[in-house]
This record gives sequence, structure tokens and C-alpha cells, in this order.
Amino acid sequence: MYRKTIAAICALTLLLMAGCSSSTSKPADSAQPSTANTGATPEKKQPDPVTITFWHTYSADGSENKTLNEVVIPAFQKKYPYITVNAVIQPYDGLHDALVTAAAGGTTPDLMRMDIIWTPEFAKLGALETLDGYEGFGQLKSSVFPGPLATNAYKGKYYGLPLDTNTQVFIYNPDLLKEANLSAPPKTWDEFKKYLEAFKGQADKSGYAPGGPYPWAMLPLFWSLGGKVTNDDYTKASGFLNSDASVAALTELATLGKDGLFAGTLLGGQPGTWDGYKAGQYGALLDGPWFFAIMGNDLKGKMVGAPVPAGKGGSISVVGGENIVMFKSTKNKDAAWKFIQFMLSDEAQVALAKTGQMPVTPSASASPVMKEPGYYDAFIEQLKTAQPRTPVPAWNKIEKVLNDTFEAVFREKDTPKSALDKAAKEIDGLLGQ
Amino acid sequence: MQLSRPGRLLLLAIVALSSFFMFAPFLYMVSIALTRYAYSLPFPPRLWPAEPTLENFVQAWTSNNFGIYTLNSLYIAALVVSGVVLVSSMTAYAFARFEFPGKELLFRLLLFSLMVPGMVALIPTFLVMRDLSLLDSRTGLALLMIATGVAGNTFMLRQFFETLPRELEEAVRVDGGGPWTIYRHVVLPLSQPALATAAIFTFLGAWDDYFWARTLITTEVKRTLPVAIRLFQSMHATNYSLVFAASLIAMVPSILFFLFGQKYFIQGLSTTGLKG
Amino acid sequence: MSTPLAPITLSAEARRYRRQRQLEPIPFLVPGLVLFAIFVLWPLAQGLRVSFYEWSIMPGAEQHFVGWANFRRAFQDPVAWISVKNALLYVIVTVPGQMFFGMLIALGLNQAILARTFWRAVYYLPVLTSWVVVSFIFKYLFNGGGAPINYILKDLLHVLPEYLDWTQDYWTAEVAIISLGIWKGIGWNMVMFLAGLQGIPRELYEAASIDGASRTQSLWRVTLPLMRPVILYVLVLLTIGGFGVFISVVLMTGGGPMNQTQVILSYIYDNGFKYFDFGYGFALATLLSLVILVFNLLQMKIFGRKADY
Repeated sequence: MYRKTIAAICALTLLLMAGCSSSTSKPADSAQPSTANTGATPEKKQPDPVTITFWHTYSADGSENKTLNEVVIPAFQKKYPYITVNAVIQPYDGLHDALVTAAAGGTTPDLMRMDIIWTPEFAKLGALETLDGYEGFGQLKSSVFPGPLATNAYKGKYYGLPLDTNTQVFIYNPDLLKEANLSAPPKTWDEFKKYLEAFKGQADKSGYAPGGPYPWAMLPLFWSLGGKVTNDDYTKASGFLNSDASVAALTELATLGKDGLFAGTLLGGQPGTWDGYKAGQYGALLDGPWFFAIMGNDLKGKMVGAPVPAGKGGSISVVGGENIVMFKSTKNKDAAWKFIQFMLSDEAQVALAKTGQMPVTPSASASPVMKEPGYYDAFIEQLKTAQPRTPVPAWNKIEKVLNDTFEAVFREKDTPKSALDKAAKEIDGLLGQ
Repeated sequence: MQLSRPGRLLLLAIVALSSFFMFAPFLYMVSIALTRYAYSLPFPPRLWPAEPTLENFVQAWTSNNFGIYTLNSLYIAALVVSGVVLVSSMTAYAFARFEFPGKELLFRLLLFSLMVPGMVALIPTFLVMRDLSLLDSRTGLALLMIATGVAGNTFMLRQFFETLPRELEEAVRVDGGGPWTIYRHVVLPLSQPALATAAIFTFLGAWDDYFWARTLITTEVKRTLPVAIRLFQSMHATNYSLVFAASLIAMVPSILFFLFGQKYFIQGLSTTGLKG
Repeated sequence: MSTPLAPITLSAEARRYRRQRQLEPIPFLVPGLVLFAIFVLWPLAQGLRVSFYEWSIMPGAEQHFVGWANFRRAFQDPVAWISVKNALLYVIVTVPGQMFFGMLIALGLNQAILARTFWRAVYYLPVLTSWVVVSFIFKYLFNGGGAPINYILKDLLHVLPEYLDWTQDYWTAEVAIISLGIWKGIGWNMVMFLAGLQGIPRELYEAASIDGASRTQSLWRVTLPLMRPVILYVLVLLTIGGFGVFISVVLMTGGGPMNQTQVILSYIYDNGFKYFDFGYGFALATLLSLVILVFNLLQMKIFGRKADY
């Protein structure tokens, strides 16, 4: 009885383990060295079939994921019948961790659509493939907007290409504009201030609701007022982030906050920007094209896009969007590169533009599709001057420093000058990393 | 120690009143789930939507693969619950009733493993799973969750087993029964409340796991319910009505499992067959 | 603690019997310990080793051994101290809070009252709801002038002179975070204590009442002492869980205002997975484990002994 028990338990343990290993994932597809030479004309000789895995975060409930799987990928496979694209939709929550883990395990996918701010850090980590040497890279590089492209560079090389882009524009409610006795949205900073003054003292109304002290929400205003985070090469913050112009910009923002000209959302107050805007309490906010797509039914005629009010620095917004990158671990470089090329073609760019993804090439942006929803014009115009958030590997940390700096000033725990001095010093150290 | 009838009535009133505090936030979740679409929580607040709708529940349930994901979650949870209860009760029995070299050291090691933040082990665990070819496997995921459940449940069950009276075991020994007989016919039947507790919490842990399922499973059809719910959250905006409705659907099996498990909370169980 | 049967004589028979009894636990131990060693212990040891390195996660990358440097840095890091302080505050308030209410409700719902199963399920509901969802709800309940909590406290109960912006001030933000922690945990405690209450033989209460003990006396003299192992388990586990508070803080306050509500686990996470400073992040994790260990050893010293009946 007793021996039997031991034997049974050992057998059970072994069985469990064996049962699991039999259900393993299939071995990675073999490399395709032959296609590298003959790949340009796949019809001549039928190459061996390959499967490439593509991770993405196109939204599941909207039309994005559907268009990818039912329009874009079939079109690609028609062109390259020997390539199967395994597109895997990923939840955004925890994606960064899953990717870090996969990189450590050497199990990254072949390709991925990733947030533009991630590309430099994964390039530094050594997880991404350099694209400079690929056939036709130079041509693709010159065919996309320079702003989004810049987020793919790390130490003089390119680790990806922009796939879609966006920015934030000044979205205002015409009803509240009328209340402020204006017939057109504020174009300059002085007009903006006058507009804000019109709501001063009104407990439940505010001309403008900032998203918060974090860079995505604050940088457009800071830049437009003439502030700078670093030099143009992203190598130095001292002398830029704490320059007189930057200090003046932050002082101006802090004054507006202190005087109650901004809504309480500046420091996390309620209602949130979207609720307050919907309730007609907030006259304007900065947001991306998704705002129009989501609010379309609720706010018909109550939202119009305009350029960010121009200060000393001009009308400067912030670039968002996604890049498409290839991982070093891929064994199907040729097929993966073909997919990248295809995703940047007008065919794919226009198909996805119909779902709300703004194209990264001027040719696709000129497509009549972009005229249809009626709100893209403001974004396309704003993109011409929009700037990326500092595209360096340490951005996550820089973002935290900027957020804490802005918050400290808005809460009057520090003065703009001293806060920016400290931040510039800290960011100097992070830029070299 | 049962109360008298008026005492019980008073108690019922207190229980019912204070349950409101437990229930109110939950009620609020239901109310959001019944709202047409809420990309933000409504302002000013309201406890019940003006026009309640079941739309979100229908949309969540009929969205891509929601049914398959539910089956995957059920499969994994079933494996994990049976695995954890079996393995942990065996280990706990050994710790509660035997002396062996290094016993307390081993037990402290189990305990210490609970104190180290799990994220430290994320990457090394992933590498172990890769080396054992257990990536992207539902059974592999379940095996990992069984393994990670051993320490906590062994600790809990040992605490319970040590309160069991020893007289019955000695009786079994005298009758010539071995440890397997004692485990099977004395320890397990006498520990039903404890085993039910372990099962209830293990089910919830396995059912709700997002962390491991997210990291280890890469094929869409093998995914679990929590991953599917997270897909409703997107980067720029989240439709809370849909997320809350999907979460409510996902709670139903956990509630059923709790109702099933708590039946084993029967007072005085351990006295049966004792000193009769 | 258990002791093996003392051998009466040391005959060959007895010695064989004793050796056999020493082997008896092995089959019970093997499955659990093997799984534990492969999937838990080995990865944990690997992770803790990173504390002594400047670590790159990429396979094949060169790793730099830095000795105690990461630990020294931790002691000089003001954010680390703030976050440990907050985690401590959370543990010290939520652990007894959950246990007190959990015990109270378990005692109540152990009585044969009407619809007992239903009430048990209601108190268990918060445990079932995901942290993400309840964090959103609590944030909403507490946040801003129009928050429901403000309405109840000022307009209904007149306890507050004016509306509070709960998440914008350190102490009120902690109140919000801690009340979520207690609310979410009561059901778990209830289940543990209910299970514990089942193990107490009815005869003991009968004996106590024959001896003339009042209800309160038998609670203190019979129920609680017999529940000691369960209470110890709950205490240890809640302490571990309390130091691991993370999601609710991130979602409710984001560590703000001004990082004042930051907790240690989110700081470890940021350093590791966000800034790729795994060596430093995991050194903090190692230190945290030691803090928890000290806490738990103290708890076991105080509550653990006298567990034999």
C-alpha cells in the first residue's frame, strides 16, 4: 500500500509535466535566407511559406482590429501568398511588462506596433533590429513626416518607422465661446487669456480644462509659450529647460492656475476633462482625434478643432502615435520587412485611416478619405509644427521628473526658476543614459 | 454558541444594515454597467441610470471569443483548484503530523517565498516556463498556478490540521492503518471547512489571474477571461460601462463557487465520530 | 508541535517501525516541494540575485556585479523611505481593521439567522470584484467636490463643514486608500474566520456554559484561543498583502499629491519594469522582504506559541 502510494505520486507528477510539455508551442519557423536574394519577385519562384507574428493594440471594439484582419492583411497576403501574418491583439494594460519579459526570454514577436515613446528604450535594450540597411529604407524614410520619424532614431540609426500618428488640438465648445463674446477661437495667447478671463469667478464654469500636470497635457502649452525641454539634439536640458523663456512659460501657466483661470483638472480636480466638457462646464480642452470619434453622437455641433493658441513659441502641439518595429530575434527578416513596407503603402495607410488612424505619409494624408469625418483638417495642420516628446531611452524617467516639477510649481511648493533648475540638472544626467 | 431568538432578530437587523456599506459601491458598478456608454463616470453622480439598458452585457458576451475565453478560464480554474487542494493538503499533512529533518527550515522557506514581491520572479519564472516548453500552454499556466499556490495553502491548512484532535489518528494506527488512510479518512473529512476555504480562494485567484495569463499565453484562442476584459480598455479612452458589464459577467462563476464552497462551513463538524 | 510516538522498547521490530515512520512523510511532501522548488524557489532566488548586479535583461548581455551598491543607494533614497512609511501605515491600519470587522461578521454569520447564505455572499462580493474596477469606483466616490462621500458626510450627516478634495491632500488621500483596503478585505477575513469557527467543538461551549461562563466570557476563553492558529495565519498573510498594496494606490492617487502617497511596490515596479533599473528595484524588493520577515517573526512570537491544545 505504502510503496504504491509513492509510485503513484511520482507517476502523477511526471504525467503532469509530460502532459504539459506535449502541448508546447510549435517550433519557430525556419529562417528564410533564400528569399533575401529573390524576394523582390516572389512570383518567379515560390518561396517556402513563412508565418510572421505581429503584435498590435488596434482597438478591439471599434473598427480598427476588424479592418486590419479583414482588409489590410488579406491585401498583403494576396501580394505575398507565401507569407502568413499572425496578428495578435494585445491589451494595453501590462503590454510593456509582457514585452520586457518576452525580450528577456528571446520570445518577442517578429513585428510590433508600439507606442512611439517606447522605441528608443527598446532600441537601447538591444531588442530591436536596425532598419537602415534594408532595401528601400531610404525611400520609405523620406516618404514619412519627419516628426513621427524622429521617434525611431537612437544613436544615429533607425529602429522602426512611424505607422500612424496623431496630435492634440484645441477643441472648443462654440456655445461657451459665444458666452465669452468671441466669434472665433483664440488664435494668440493674449486672445486665449481674454477668453479665460470671461469665465473668471464663475464657480461651475471654466474656459479651459487642462488634463493635468503631466507632459502630454502640459507640453503643448509650455512649448507654445516658448518653453523648451532640451536642445534640438536631445542631449542637454540645462540652458533650455531652465532658460528665461522656459521659466517665463511655466510662470505664466502657474499664474493662470493660481488665478483660477484653468479648471481644477490641472491638479486632478473633478469633474474630469471629458465629463466637464460634456456637461457644458468646460469651454475647451486639448485632445486627440479619438475624442471626436468617441464623442461624435453626444456632442454633435459642440466640438470644433482649432490650433493650439500661439504664444511666443508659436502654436506647438505634441506628437503621439505608433511605430512599427522589427525585433532582433526574428528569423523572418525578409518577410517582416515586406510587411513593414506594405503597412506604409497608401493602400494600408488609407484603409486604416478610415478607422481613425492618421496616416504618416503626405500622399495618404491627401486621400479624400481624410476629408470625410470633417475633423482631420485641424490635426493635419497642427501636425506640421507638432514636436515629439524627448525621444530618448530614459523618457519614462524624464516624464516623471517633468510631471513632478510642474506639479510642484502648480501647488506652489516651489518657484518656476528653482524647480526648472533642479529638473534641468536631473534631466541632463538622464539624457546621456 | 447560538443566540436566542430575539438576539438573532437584532443580529439580522445589524447584518442587513451594515451590509449596505458592502453593497453600495457594488450597486454603483451595476448602475454604470446598465448605462448606455460611459467613457467617464457620470457627473453629477447618480445611483441609478436614467435609461437602464442591457446593451453592454449583450455586447460583452457576444464580442470576439468571449465564450471560448470563459471555457479556457473554467478549464484552468478547475485544474488549479483540484491541484492546489490535493497537493497543499498532502504537504500540510506532512508538516502538521510528522517530524523530519529540516522541517521547520523548509516551512520557513515556504513562508519566506510569500514575502518576496512576486514581480521579482516574473522574468526568471518566464525563463523556467520557456525551458520546460510550457509557454503558451493552458495546462502549463495551470501547473504554474498550482505551484505558486502551494506555499500559502500549505501554511493555511497546516494551521487547521494542527487543531484537529489526534485521538482518531491514533485509533487508526492501532487498527493497523497507515498515513494514507489517516490522510484520506480522518484528516480530509474533518477539514472540510478549511479545504473549502482553500478551494474558494484558489478558484478566485485562478479565475481572476491576469498577470500570468497575459505574459505566458500568446495565442488568442488560448486566452482567459481577464485578458478579454482588458481588451475593452484602450489606450486613450475606456468604455467603463462595457468593462463593468464584462466584469460582472465574469463574477458570476466566482459567486456560484463561493455559494457552493461555503456549504461546507458546518459548525461542529470536527466533533462527529469523536469521543462518541 | 507534534512528536513521534516514543518507542517502548528498542527491539529490531521497533527500530524498523521507527525508520518506516520517518519515511512516511516523503510521498506527501514530494509533489508540493518539487513544484515549489522548480516554479517558485528557483525563480525567486534568481530574482534576488539581481539585487547585487547592474542588470540587463537581454539574453547573453554582460552583467556587472556591484556588490552592496544598490542597497546603499536604497538607504539614501528619500522616495524609498516615504514609500516604506506609507506601506507601513497601510499595514498598521488595514490589517487590524479588516480582522476586527471580519471577525465580527463571521461571528454574526455563524449564527442561524434568516438568509445566512445570502448575507455571507453579500459580504464576500467586494473580494470578488477586481482591484481595477473597485479602485475606479472608490476614486470616483472620493474625488472632487461632487463626490458621493462628500454629499453623505456634509449634506446628509453634517459631519464635514465643507466639501473635501480627498485625493488632493496626503491624509485624506490615505483615508480613501485605506478605506478601500478595509472594505475589500473584510469578506476574505470573514471566510477565514468562519472556517476557523467550524473547527470548535460544540461540547466546549456547552462545558463553558455549565461552568457558568457568560457569552462574552466564552468568546474570550473558548472561541478566540481556539482560533489562534487561524488568526495567526490571517495576520501573517494580511501583513504580507498589505506591504504589497499597489494597484489601488496607482489608480486612485497615482502616488500623488507630490509622491506623498507612493507605496513601495509601485516604486519597485517603476524602477524595474519602467526604468530598466532591475538591480536597484530588486534590491528594494529584497529589503522589503526582510522588513516583512521581521514583522511576521514578531507576530509569530506574540501569537504563535501556546498553539498546542
